[in-house]
Formats: sequence, C-alpha cells, structure tokens
Amino acid sequence: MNHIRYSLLFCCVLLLVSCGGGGGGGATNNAINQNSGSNPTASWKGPLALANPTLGSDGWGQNIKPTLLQDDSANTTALWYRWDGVAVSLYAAQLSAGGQWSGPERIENSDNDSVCKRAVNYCDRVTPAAIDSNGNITVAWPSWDGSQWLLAVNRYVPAQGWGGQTVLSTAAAVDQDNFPLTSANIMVDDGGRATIVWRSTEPANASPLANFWYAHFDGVNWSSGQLTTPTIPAMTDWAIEPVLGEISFAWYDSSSGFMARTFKPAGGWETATVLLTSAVSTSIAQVSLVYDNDGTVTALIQRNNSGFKTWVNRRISGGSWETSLLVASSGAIAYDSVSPKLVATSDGGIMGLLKWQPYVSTSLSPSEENWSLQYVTYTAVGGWSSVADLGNYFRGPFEVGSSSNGSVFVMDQSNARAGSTLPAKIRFWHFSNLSNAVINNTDLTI
Amino acid sequence: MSGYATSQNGYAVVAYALKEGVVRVNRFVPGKGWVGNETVAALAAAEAARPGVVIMAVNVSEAGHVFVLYYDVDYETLAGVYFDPATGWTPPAPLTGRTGRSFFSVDSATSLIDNSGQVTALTNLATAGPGLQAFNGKGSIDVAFSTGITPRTAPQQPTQVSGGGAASTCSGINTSAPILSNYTDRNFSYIRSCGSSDVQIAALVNGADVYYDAYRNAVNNLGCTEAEAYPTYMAHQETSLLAKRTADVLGCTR
Repeated sequence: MNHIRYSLLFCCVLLLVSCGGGGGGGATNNAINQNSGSNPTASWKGPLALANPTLGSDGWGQNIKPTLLQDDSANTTALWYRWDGVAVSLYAAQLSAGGQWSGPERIENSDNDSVCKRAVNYCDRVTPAAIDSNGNITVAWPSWDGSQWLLAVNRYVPAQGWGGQTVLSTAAAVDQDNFPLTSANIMVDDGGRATIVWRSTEPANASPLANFWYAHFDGVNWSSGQLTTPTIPAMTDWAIEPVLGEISFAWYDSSSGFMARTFKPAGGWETATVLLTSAVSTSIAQVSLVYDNDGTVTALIQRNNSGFKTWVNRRISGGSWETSLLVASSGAIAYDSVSPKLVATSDGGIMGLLKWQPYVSTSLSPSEENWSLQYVTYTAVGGWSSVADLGNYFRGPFEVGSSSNGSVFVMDQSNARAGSTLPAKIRFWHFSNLSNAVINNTDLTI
Repeated sequence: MSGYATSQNGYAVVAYALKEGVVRVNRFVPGKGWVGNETVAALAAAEAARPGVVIMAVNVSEAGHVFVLYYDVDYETLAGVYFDPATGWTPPAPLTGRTGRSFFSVDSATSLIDNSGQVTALTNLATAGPGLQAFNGKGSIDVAFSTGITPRTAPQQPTQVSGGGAASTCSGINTSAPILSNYTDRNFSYIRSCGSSDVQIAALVNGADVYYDAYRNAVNNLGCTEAEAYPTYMAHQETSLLAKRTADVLGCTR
C-alpha cells in the first residue's frame, strides 16, 4: 500500500492560529527564566547562513519565506525565495542526515519566468512543496511566459539532485495577485508520483471564473490541463488520490443539490453524480472530501433543512457513490457553521468533525454564542456511527489529525467572547481507535 | 497564538502563549495520556511588562521529543525550548548571534524534528546588517542554534533627539505623521547617525511614529541626503508596523 503524503504546508503543523496575546504588565511564572545562564542546547550547531543578505541593485537584500521538508531518513531540504534586485528566484539547499548543508542551488532558470512577478512585493508566500518518504520532492511556482501565468514545477530525486524546471504550457491561469499558488494542493506518494490541483480566480486568465487546474506526474512524465467543467461555485472541496492522480470535487448547486465529479488524468471526467438532491433552499450548504489510503473517497455534507442535518457518502475506488446516509438531524437550524473536516486513519477509518451554532435568536450577542462540536466515525467493522457531541463552547478554529496507529486527535480552540465571564479554552480529545472511540480529553482554560 | 503537532505514531503536543509572556505546553504520550500544563518558558520580569509571544513552530518526534520555537515580539528575539523524554525540559534559549533587538521583525521561522529528536530550524530575520539596509523583514537565513547567548537587557526608554514629533500615547493621534501615526507606547528605540555627522535623526518616542518627520527633518535641515536618510526611515516604518501589530493585539487606539 502506498503511503500518502500531503504537503508539509498543510499538515506538518496542523494548527497555527491566533488567540490574542500581549497585554499590560503582569506577574509571570518564572519557573524557567529565559535569561537562564545554563547551557541547555550544547548540542546545537550553527548558526549557519544559508543565504547571505547580499544587497540587490536597489539596496535591498532579501531571502523570503523559507520552508523545510524532511524525508524518513532525516534528509532535510530548505526552500526559499531570493530577491537579487532584478528578479525573484527560487533556491534550495539540502542538509544530509550526516549534518552537512549543500550550497544554495537555484532551481528555476529564467528571470523572465521569475517566480514572483519580478517584484518581491508579490512574493509574500511559501512555495508549495511536498516530499515523500523516499525524499522525492515536488515543488511548484507560477511562471510568467510574457503573456500569461503558467505552472512551473521541479523535482528533486535523491542521488540525482534537482532536475531542470518544467513549465507546463497547458497549465495556465495561475493567479499571482489574488489567489497565490500556496492555495494549491500537492499530493505525492512513495512511488514517486505527484498530483497538483489549484484554483484560479484571476479574471484576465480564467474563463470561466474560478476554474480548477491540475498537473500530474506519473513517475516519468507530467500531464496537465484545465478542469474546465463543471464550473464549480465557491462552496466546494476537492481531494486528491495521488497514485493515479484521481481528483474528486464536491460542490453545492441550488438547483441540483450536492454534486460530485471525479477526474482521472488517464480517462478525463466521469459523469457528475448527485450526492444529495436539494429540495429546499438553505442558508448553509457545505461539503468536505477525503481519500483514504485505499483510494476510497468520503464526503461529509451539512445543510439546513428543517433543522441542521448531516449526511455522509463514500465511493470505493473503481466503484460508485452510495446513497447518502443521514447521520445527524437537529431540530434547530444552524445560525452559523464552518466547513466540516475529515480525516482518514491508517486502518481505513474516517472521522468527521462538525462545528456549528444552533439558532437561538436574532439578537444573539457574542457572549451568548454556543457552538456545538460534534463528530461522526466510520470503521470497516461498524460502518457509520451517529453524530455524537464533544461539547459546546465558543467560536474558534478546530483541527483533527490521525496517526499511523489509527488514533485520532481533535483540538478545538474557543476564544473568549466580549461580555462573557467564561474564559478562552483549548480542548483536546484523543481517540485511541475509532472502533472503541475511547476518549481521553483535556480542557485547558487560558 | 498556539501551535499543535502530532507524530505519526501518536504523540501530540500543543503549545500556547499567555498574555503574561508564558509559554505552556501539553504533551500527549501514547499509553500515558496528556501531560501538562507545563510552563516551559517565561519571560524575564523586565520583559514581561510588555509581552508579545508568538508561537512560530511546534514539533514532536516519534520518540516524544518536543521543540517549540517562539518569537518574543517586543524584544525581537527568537527562542526555542526543547524536551527530551530522557532528561525533560531544557530551559529556553534565544538564537545565538541574535541578541535582543538585533533585528526588527521575523519574516518567518520554521522548524522540524526527526525521529531522533534532531531539530532543524530556519529563521528569516529582518536585519541585513548594521545600518538597517533591509527594511522589510528579509535577511540572512540561520540554521539551528548554539550556545554563547548574549544576555539581553531591560528596555531603555528612548530619547527623542531631533526631528521627532511630540511624544504621545495610545490614545493620541499624531496627525503630523502622514504615513503612519501612533500605535502604542512601544519601548524600543532606534538611533542612527547621518553621514559624517553625529546627528541622530530619529527615535521612537513612546510609540509615536516620528520617523517621517525625522526623515524630512534630516533631509531638509540636517544635511542628510535622501540615500542616507531613506533606508533608516523605511526601517523605522517596518518597526512601527511591528508595533502596530502588537498594538492591535493590545487594543490600543491607532
């Protein structure tokens, strides 16, 4: 079975969110003082300058947004942009498991194709990149050909190094200004394959607006193209199965309902499938997708429909979508909700998380917010569970992650609300496995 | 600001900063459960008066090692704290060669950890070198850490030396600064000589953005050239933007 690796940009650190900070004076717990005279990091090496701030012609010297990637053998790669006063270029350096850094290497080769529109102001972003366990790296950036933006890619293969850049002439409409490529998804597997999906919203290059594009590396060659149909509205999600490069989309269409459609690089678009017919107008219509390691894609759907309701659906690799299964039905409609999140576990299980706010009154104050955090699970043995509660608290981000032993972690950050006497909280849950759904939870009041 | 990470075999860690400048960590150890709420870093008393800690990166290894990289905004210092399952927490330490306030902001900082607990970190600092040639937070990229840390000192009240506007506070509006106005009473200062003169052209006075005034004064009245004064002005502008971000958190009136 292939191990699926998501881009480090999206999953290495699962959550990085603001919860305030600062404040006036106050006592501190000096249990460990930062000015300690001890020598706690004697084994650290460095610092070593990977890139000196050599000034450009305008007097600026800039290295921008470094990124780190690491394979299973602890070989590490650094990627960063560099402005030399003329153009912005993309550089890389490798740190071997033995501890030696290679010199910086420029991995794209044309100032005309400069990665950030030849102006550093547009380069405030991290390069999309992903690494598999064997150390193969795929990196993508926008490249200007004189008339339009194209997708450019390069790959690093251990023992071979970086190849030359490949500009995919069939992969255009990379929006530099309003929708940076960091929104792209890169999925790689341990077989050396890679699939990239991104979305363009640049009117000058995208027709119709909000098109999706893809690029797929099958281990030998790149293929790419515009996912011209369907025209997918804003409320949508997509997921990538990296072995074959299969990409599934899900979206809501007010006339047809919740839809899904799959694209295969070798076969093109499949016929769109109605996951759930819409018979009502709804203020909330959200759907999320995830692939598991066996190529099964799962959809989680939520909408208001005489109450807030949740459905699930699955499509086994090579099969068809099932009939959507209603797993939760609340008597209250949702006043607000966030897109559900899904995670696939290594043993084929699925956990879905929902966070929504039941409608209480039209004059709801922030302090009255009462967001419900809920979960639903799928296991090969037990099938789908009903939605269960994790508890109610305030608005805030949440995240879910899984480990190789099948356990799942859930983190919810609820920010304090003005006018409320209740504090902010970070809450955790640990499910040792989805079959038993043993919950070990911790609440932190902050 | 908080950070959260898991390892593939089930370790998890969350780190978060409190407004008092304390960094706390909770660790999940498979087979044992949650361990926390451990205070792993606390700013010195002199620093804690104006804390602004940002968690930049959190890592946990498959052997349970933990690394938290955080940024003390007010002191413009990056620091890391490390947990080894065999020996416990080590006290936090700032990056070597980067004494307090030796740079003006952190463009970015990231780190990762391998299964043996080895950490690799990249930081991108704003200062290109003495004289503030780089103004927008981009500079050399440092890797890892070492000992020999220069102790930081408590903040000193800045002195307005020339060209600056009037001192102001959070509630004031300095309308004489056309680009940036007041942010908050940040206590960092910067003083720069102009050309061969020992005239100091700017200082941050209680957070008022006096740099534009100082810049204009340096050029119009003190004999500085544009080339001499402008980089300093822009560097100050960046610094003030940093102050603004902090001020936003603090809720000060802009």
